[in-house]
This record gives sequence, structure tokens and C-alpha cells, in this order.
Amino acid sequence: MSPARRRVGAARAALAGSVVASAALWGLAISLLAWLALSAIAGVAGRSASGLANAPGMRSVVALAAGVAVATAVLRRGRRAWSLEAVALWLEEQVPALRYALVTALDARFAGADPALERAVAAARWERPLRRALARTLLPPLAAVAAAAVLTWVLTPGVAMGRNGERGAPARSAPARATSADAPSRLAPLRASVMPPAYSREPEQTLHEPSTIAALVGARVVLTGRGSAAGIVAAAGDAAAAVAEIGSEWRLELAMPTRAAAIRIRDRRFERIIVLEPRADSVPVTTLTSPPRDTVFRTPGGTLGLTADAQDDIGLSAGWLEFIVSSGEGESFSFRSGTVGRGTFGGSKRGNLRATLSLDALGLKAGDVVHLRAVVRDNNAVSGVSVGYSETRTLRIARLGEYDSVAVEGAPPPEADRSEVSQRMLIMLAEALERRRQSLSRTALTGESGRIARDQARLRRRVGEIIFARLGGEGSAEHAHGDDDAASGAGGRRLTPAELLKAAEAATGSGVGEALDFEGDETPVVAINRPLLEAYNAMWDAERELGVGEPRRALPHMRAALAAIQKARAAERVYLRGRPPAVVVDLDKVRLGGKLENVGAEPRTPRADASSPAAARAARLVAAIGLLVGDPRGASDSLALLRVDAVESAPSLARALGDAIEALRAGRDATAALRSARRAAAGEPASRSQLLRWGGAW
Amino acid sequence: MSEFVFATAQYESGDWDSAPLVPPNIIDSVARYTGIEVAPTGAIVPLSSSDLFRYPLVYATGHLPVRFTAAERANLRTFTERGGMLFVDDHNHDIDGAFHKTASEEIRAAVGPLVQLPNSHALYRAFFRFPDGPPATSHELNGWGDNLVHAHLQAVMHGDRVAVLYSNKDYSSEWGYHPDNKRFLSVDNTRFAVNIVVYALTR
Repeated sequence: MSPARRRVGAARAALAGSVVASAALWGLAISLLAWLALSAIAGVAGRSASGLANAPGMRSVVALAAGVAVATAVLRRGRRAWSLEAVALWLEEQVPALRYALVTALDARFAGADPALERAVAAARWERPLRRALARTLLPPLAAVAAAAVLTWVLTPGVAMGRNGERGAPARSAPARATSADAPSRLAPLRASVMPPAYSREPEQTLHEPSTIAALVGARVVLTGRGSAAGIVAAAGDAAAAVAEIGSEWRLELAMPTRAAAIRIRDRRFERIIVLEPRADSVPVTTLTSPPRDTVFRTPGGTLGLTADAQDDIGLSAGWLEFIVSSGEGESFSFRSGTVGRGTFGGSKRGNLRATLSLDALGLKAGDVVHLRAVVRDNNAVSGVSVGYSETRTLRIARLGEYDSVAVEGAPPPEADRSEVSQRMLIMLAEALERRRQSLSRTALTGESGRIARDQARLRRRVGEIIFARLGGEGSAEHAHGDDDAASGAGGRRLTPAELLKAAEAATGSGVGEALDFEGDETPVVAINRPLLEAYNAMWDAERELGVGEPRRALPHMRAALAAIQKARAAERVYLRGRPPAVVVDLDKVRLGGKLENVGAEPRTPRADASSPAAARAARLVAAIGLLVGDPRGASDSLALLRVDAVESAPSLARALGDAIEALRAGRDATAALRSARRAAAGEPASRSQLLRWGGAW
Repeated sequence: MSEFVFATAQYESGDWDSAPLVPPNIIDSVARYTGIEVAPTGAIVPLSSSDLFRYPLVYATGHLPVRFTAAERANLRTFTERGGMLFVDDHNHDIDGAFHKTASEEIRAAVGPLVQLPNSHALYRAFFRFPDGPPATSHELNGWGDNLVHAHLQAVMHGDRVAVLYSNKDYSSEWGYHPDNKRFLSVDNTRFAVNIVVYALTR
């Protein structure tokens, strides 16, 4: 075979192959398009149509025949590609420089006659026009096939189901099968079977055409509809749910979640939303009926009957009575605990606990406190056992003599403390002076005693300030009487403590602390300040003796003053339990007076404004109601989704929405239910105790 | 803006009033170190009262077992959900005592479980810097209580916010003195209380 014949043969094979491929592609594209067209015709004709339109097998045959016919036509049109001479002439046309050398070289009569012909053919280049011809032949049918495939992908439910099946459905889902695009919805009629958890012992329920399914958390919910599962897509909340096919029905099975959710089921253009409304298993409730109140026992003995009632919405499992004994006081406490009266309820909804507690066996001491409560648990095997507790009763064993006193709490150091320390020092100085008395001259003794007297006078004035500040808030009241005659009356006569206090109380006119009880007929003012007044007068006497150089005679007065201060100090530390001392911080005095070391506050990230969930719900409700006229199905779905969000946070709104949805789906008038929903969404009317400030306009 | 009022929680069980000097001491520190407008006296608020919602920070302490009533539990839950912060300090400074066990149980039931608060939390940088976490108390250092120096505080978190701050460190004893005596301390041991207040008011 000559080189020229070999080259032309290769070109012929490429052209013939492209014709065959083109025929196959055109045939495939036409088959797909024909099948889609026939399916569309069948959809328009409806289920009542018969014959070609409604027979899937026949549609396929017709589509295949159309494809074969077109392929045959294409092959026939390109039949010249099988002829070597025709291909050579086509190449001569594409490469004019050959000047018929190629046709001549292939002619048997001239084959090998002229080497110049073979050289001319060998020099010719026809690869480029050959590639262009191949592209022209293959690209149009390829595009047609791609378009047909896309149309099939988009318009055929079976293919769509397969796509979704890859994303969410498990392998056991039904295989994709074609369902007519305009076939009736398989989402109605819809039946829901609700199987509560076994521990609840509640019966199975069947609901028809449900818009809401309310059940215990963990209940098994099975939705069933007619038809195959092919093309039905479902999601519960954000998670895809598997739709299976059993016999002639599709079936969706899921567990009741812990939070409200919406199930969306889609069948082609049909969609259905069902609200899952979980009902949580309530925590069991128990009440300690005996002892009915807190008690104080005078002696730690005897027995105590304990009883408690219990109830649960589903069923009780067990219960017991629990006690804790706390002993000690102040910063030192010890504790013991235990249980009595443990019992089981066998799943009943009501029950009671009984026990006897021996106080002797507990070994209680004075001051001990017994804390009692009942504990019950339910049977919840799904979300975990819930435990309920009763209120706690406390039984206290009285302390000896506790009724004669009040509890003593920690207290700030009273102002008199400073005086007390100083008085001790003055006594020590006076005693030391008295011991050295024999070795001192009268002048030296008088001089040193005079210095102690001046300190004593200073201390007396400080005590006086405390007294007068308390009585009338006027710290310098003593000075009003003259520095040298502090406790003298108007007539220059020195007042007794009782007279002075009486005058002070009259001056204040308040009768401070009248609610408190004090001994005898003394008013609180006199009773509280008497010790300090006694100290004040004793200091006065001591000061006088020290001033004349008689520390020995001054010492009894000084010791009396110290004893009185001690008494006042003890009185300061008594506080009634439940009324802690009200320490008032002098803010102006301490403001920004601290050392700012190791300060390094970091800037905080501002939080987003808190939006009002109630306002958002109200806006969604208004928007959903607005859809009612133009898109009632969309409105119903919007209300259902709003209900999902409202189940936990706004139960009254959720109830009203449920009524409205049921009414809408049943074709009834939903006005009343929607009005209730709007009222619930708006919330309770706000009432104010006073008018709002005027806003500038009526 | 109204002034900050330091509130002490009054609950039905236990000795809620065991640390009466802590509030004035903290109030003193808030005034001493910050410009926060603060009331000169604290308030006592029943945990079951709606008055609870008037206070951004509520302090609770005690030695005895804590058993909240249903009303207290519900109120506390709402209080923390609305942004309030509860600071609970075990006055027994231990980890397995009756107060700790009962209080943590009640907190879990009312608000949520306590988790360990990392020492890098913003609470320790809210005003003063505490790079090592919560300051140790003298009771811990002396070996009283459970003989431990607790390295962390615990908390119930609502998102990134502390809803309940729980301490086993017995700050109630550490801070339970008259504020006038603060002048005797070389380092004020109530500075951490300022962080708690600033955190509660700003986060």
C-alpha cells in the first residue's frame, strides 16, 4: 500500500468514527427529550389519560425509536465518509495546493507511475481541516446530550430523590423511581402513630392529618402516607430524616425530641409542616407533711413521726426521708447525714412516705440542728431520672439559757475601745507614781500627778464626746457646758448621771430605740449610755484627785471608770439575731483613698443589644397573617414554624396558634384563634402606678 | 444612673446573716478604689422576693445546709437569666461540707452545674490584676477548714458570662471586719471584691 493511500485511509477512519459517534449522541439526546416530552404530555393529560401518555414502558419504547431514527438519519447523511475516493476529494477541496495529485495518486492506473505525485502528497498537511471537521461533527450532538441530561435531572423527581438520597437518606430508603411531576401529593392523607416510652405505660395514639403532634420526650412517632417513598424528602429541624417504603406506603419514623421542632416533608412541589411538641416528664413533687413546720426542742430526746406525700405526672419510682444534723457554732461546724423511710412506689402516680426518727439515736446535743426533707424520684428511662425534693424543716435543740440572752455577733470595735486602752495606761501610770511616791518630793509628785490628770481630762472629754454625739449628734455638747465644768447644770450644780441623761433625752426628743426592752423603768437612752456616764463621772473624780497630787485616792475612781468602760464595751457587742449591725460607710472619707496597685482593667467587648423575643414573635405573627389572603398555605406554614418557637417561651401563644392552624387546615374561620394569638403575642397589658412623663405632644 | 447597692441574699434555710460586716467592707473598698456611685449601706433581699431583680449582684453565704424553697429556686433562675450575678461564698471554707454539698446542689437545680473557673478569666482582670487567680485567704494559709488552698473558684456560666460565682475560700471570714480596721492591713485583702463588683456591673 502506497503512503498516500495509508494517509487517506487514516483520515477516512477518523471521519467515519466521528459520524458514528455523532449519530449515537444525537440518538441519545433525542431519546431523552422525547421521553421528557411524553412524560409532560402524560402529566397534562392526568391520571385519567390512557395509552401512550400514561404508560411508562411505552413512553420509553417511543423515545428509543425516535433516537434510533435520528441516529440512522445521521449515519445516512455521513455515509460518504466510508468512501476512500470521496474522502480524497474532500481533502483535495480542503487543501487546493494538491492540484488533484492525491486523487491521481490513489487511482490504480497511475499508482507508482510518477514519484513526483507521491512527494506532492507527502508534503501536503490536512490535519487542521480534519480536526475542524471532527469538531463540527461532534460538538452539536454533545451539547444536545448535555442539555437533555440537565432537563432530565431537573424535571424528573426520581433523579432528584437520588440526589437527596446521597445527602441524607440511608441506603435502605426506597430506590428512586419516577413519579409524575404533576401527580397528586403523596403527603395527604397522612397518619401519625405515637408510641409513648415504655416506662410511661401510656397507650399508643393514632392521629389523622395532624398539624401538631404532642407527646412525651422520647416517644416514637411514625408518619405514614400512601404511595412510594421515591422523591419524598423529610427533615426534622435541621437534620434530614429517612423516608422508607413499606408495601404501598411511605413511612417516616423518628423520636420525639427534647425541644419543639418542625418536620418538613416535601414531595416534589408539595410540602407539609408538622410541629413536634414535646411534653417533658415533670419532676416529681413531694411535700413533707409532718413535721409541718420548723420546731425548737427543749431537750434532745424522744421520737419524731415523719410523713411525706409524693406525686408525679407519669409514675414514681422510689423515695426516702433525708436528714442532716449540724452541730457547732461560730466558725466550727460538723455535719452528719442519713436517710430513713426508704420506699418504692412501683410506678404509681401518688404515694406517701412514713418513718420514725429517734432523736435519742441521733445523739443530739444542745444547739444541734436537724434538717429534714423528703426526696422522691420518678421512672424516667429516656432523659434520665428526675428527683424531687420537699421543703426543708429544721428542728433545733435549744441551748441552755438561750432564752435569757440574744445571739452575739461579731461587731466593729466600739469607739470606747480606744478609751479603755488609754484608761488602763493611766491606771498603770498612777500605780507606778504611787509606788515611787516615797522617793519623790511633793512638787515632783504634784507635777507628775498633774500630767496624768491632764491626760485623764483629755480622756474624759473623749468619752463625753461619744456620749453627747450619741444623744444628740453634737460631739461638742460637753463644751457648751464649759470645759472646766462639763457636767454642770445651768445653775452651776453638777448633775447626777440620771439627771444628765434625762436632760439629754429631752434634748433629742426622739426616745431612741423604744422598741427594745430594758431593765426597770429606764429608757433606752439612759440604759445604753449609763455605763459611759458612770465612767465619765469617775474620770472626773479621778482627775480632781490627780490634780491635787493624790494618785492613791484617784486610783479607785480610775478603776471604776475602767470597769464602766468594760461594761459599755460588752453592751456594744450585743446584736439581735436577724438584725445585723448597720455599718454606714463614710463614702466621702474613703472615696478613692486606696492604693491603686496592680490595677489593669481590660476593656470589655460590648454586647449586642438584646432584642425582644416577644416583639420578634409579634412581628412574625403579623407577617404570617398578612400572607393569609394571597398564600394561605404559606401562612399556615409560617404559623406552624412560629408555633415551634413559641412552645417553650410563650405557651399561651403556642396554644392559640395551634387552634388557628387547625382551623385553617380544616377550612374553618380562624379569626377568633388568630385574635387570641395576637393578644397572646402582645403580652399582658402593662399597668403603671403613675402617668408617663409628658412627651411634648398630645 | 442609680447608685450601686450591695445586696445580701436572705434565704429561708441556714444562717444567711453569718457575715454582716462583709457588705460594708466591700462597699468601703468599692468607694476606696473606684468612682462607682455606691450606697453607704448594703441591702438585705429575700431570695424569693421580686426585689431581687433590683440588684445586679447578690451575695450569699452561710455555714449551715442550704435548701432553697421552690420560690427561691425559681426566682434565682430568673435573676441569673436576666443578667444578675450571684456570689456564693462557703463560710466553712471546705469542699465537702454540708454547705458546699447542699449549696452546689441547689445552684445546680436552680441555675446549672458549677464548673471550674479558669484563673485566666476576665474576672481576675476586671479591675485589679490577679494573675494567679483568686487570692488565697488567711484561713486557707493557716490550714483551717479542709486544709487546702483552693486554686480555683467555681462558676455557672451563661454563655461567656458568670451567672453564679462560687467560692470555697471563705472570703466571708477574710473580709468580715469593720472597714475602719482596713488601715491596719499592709495590703487590702478586699481588693478582689472590687473585681467581683466591677465584673458584675460591666459584663
